[in-house]
Amino acid sequence: MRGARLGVVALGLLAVPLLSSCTGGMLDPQSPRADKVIVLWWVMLGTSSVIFVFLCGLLLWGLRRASRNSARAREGQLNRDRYLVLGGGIALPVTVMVVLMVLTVWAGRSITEAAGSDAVTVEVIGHQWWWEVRYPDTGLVTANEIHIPSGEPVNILLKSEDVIHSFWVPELSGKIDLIPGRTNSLIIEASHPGEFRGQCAEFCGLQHAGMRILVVAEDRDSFDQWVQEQGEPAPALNPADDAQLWEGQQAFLGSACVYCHTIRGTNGSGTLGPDLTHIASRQRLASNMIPNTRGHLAGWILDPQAVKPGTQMPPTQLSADQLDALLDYLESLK
Amino acid sequence: MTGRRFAIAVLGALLAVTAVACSEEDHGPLNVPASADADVGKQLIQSYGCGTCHTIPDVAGADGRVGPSLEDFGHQMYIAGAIPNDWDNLVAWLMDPQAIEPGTIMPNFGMGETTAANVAAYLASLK
Ligand code: HEC
Ligand code: HEC
Ligand SMILES: [Cu+2]
Repeated sequence: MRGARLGVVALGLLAVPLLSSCTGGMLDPQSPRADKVIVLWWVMLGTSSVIFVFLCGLLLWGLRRASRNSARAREGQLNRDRYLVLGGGIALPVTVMVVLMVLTVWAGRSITEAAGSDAVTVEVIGHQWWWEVRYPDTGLVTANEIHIPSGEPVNILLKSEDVIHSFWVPELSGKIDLIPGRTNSLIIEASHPGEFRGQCAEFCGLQHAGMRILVVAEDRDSFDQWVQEQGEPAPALNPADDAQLWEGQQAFLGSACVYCHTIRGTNGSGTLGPDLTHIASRQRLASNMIPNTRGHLAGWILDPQAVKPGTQMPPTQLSADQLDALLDYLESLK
Repeated sequence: MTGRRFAIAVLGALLAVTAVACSEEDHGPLNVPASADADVGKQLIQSYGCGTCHTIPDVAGADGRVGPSLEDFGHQMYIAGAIPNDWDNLVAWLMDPQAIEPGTIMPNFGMGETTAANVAAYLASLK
């Protein structure tokens, strides 16, 4: 009995350093806002651990005492017990709850504190199983990779196209759901440039676990440059000068891709899948499941179901020449 | 109990001896030059993403089914059912598959000779 209890406590204690040693997790915030949440988290963990241990002790003590003089409870003792119940059962919990609530409100306020009116706004729209990313100020559309300026609060507006998803980038903020028919908002801020990985945190179907997101925080100049580049349409091609790229574009426009994907600057304006206008600039493919390199890209186009079973993108059959040209074309969309 | 353990140990030892004997008489068609580095090749395979089309042993996530599995490729006699699997042919295949088998869906990666040699060295080690 004692052994088992000790085991549980030891396991619990072990879990804490294990969790906190994971780099890049919730316990290693990289954002002034997430910093406050983590303070709250530690205070709550500390307080509840102390109370838990205290209560266990009290219970043991009560059990032993009850068995020793069960039938001999006298009037005076009952009075003392009444104080214990009033103090320990009402006063103490009320105090603890009030303190924790004040802290929670403080942390909650700092998370939702409005960003300035000139703050960047990013619209994130959940799809099974990828993230559409829009910057309403500039009209640019991309997917699965959010760029933000570091050291500035950024408004994130969250919507869903189908079912409930949840946006969670642990190093930057807590999670918030994306709910169909509703717009939720969140403010994130990265304290320094870097890359932060996130994950859908609300079960949304077969490829829920394959719905990852990447936040790239960069200094203001690089960010502005990124916005400008991403806003450009794909370059116009003509068959005489860029025969191979033109072939590739024809392969895209001539097969099913065009029904689902947009490449701005071409006739392709499908919206069932991610915008591919600057696909070559993204680090990873398929909602950050595979690196964006030629082999992965080819394999994904020919057999997406092997990479992400259940994904909404069907396999496409292409001839060797079409595939090579299509790969060259997509790789040119920087 | 000890009897059984002893028997297992003997069996294991026997197996090890046969395995060694087998690999001694191994005469794969691929003679890898010392300059080609299989470890570098493995990393290249990982970063190109060959594994999204091929199943390749010991490469993370390499369980693709678009093309043939490359398991045991060091023992395979032909490349793409077209040319003998010797060193020069393998390097040539990796540098430009369509030059060898027009119409094959395996993409051209624009590999230089050194890169192709490193990749080939890893493929040759798959036995
Ligand atoms: C029926 C619609 C549909 C068709 C047809 C289709 N796709 Fe897709 N595609 C999608 C969806 C949906 C996704 C997102 C998949 C996911 O991450 O689960 C996607 C993802 C992609 C991605 C990865 C994008 C990213 O940001 O990660 C690429 C590249 C891509 N498709 C290229 C193509 C090409 C090239 C074709 C034609 C040969 C094609 N697709 C045909 C729906 C489609
Ligand atoms: C788009 C999918 C695709 C990608 C990506 C791809 N291959 Fe292939 N590969 C194929 C196909 C299909 C074949 C079968 C060709 C044939 O028989 O004509 C093949 C054949 C081969 C063969 C000959 C196998 C045999 O059994 O004869 C080797 C070796 C090979 N690939 C290596 C690689 C390497 C190394 C890479 C990465 C640099 C790679 N492949 C990337 C599709 C691909
Ligand atoms: Cu999900």
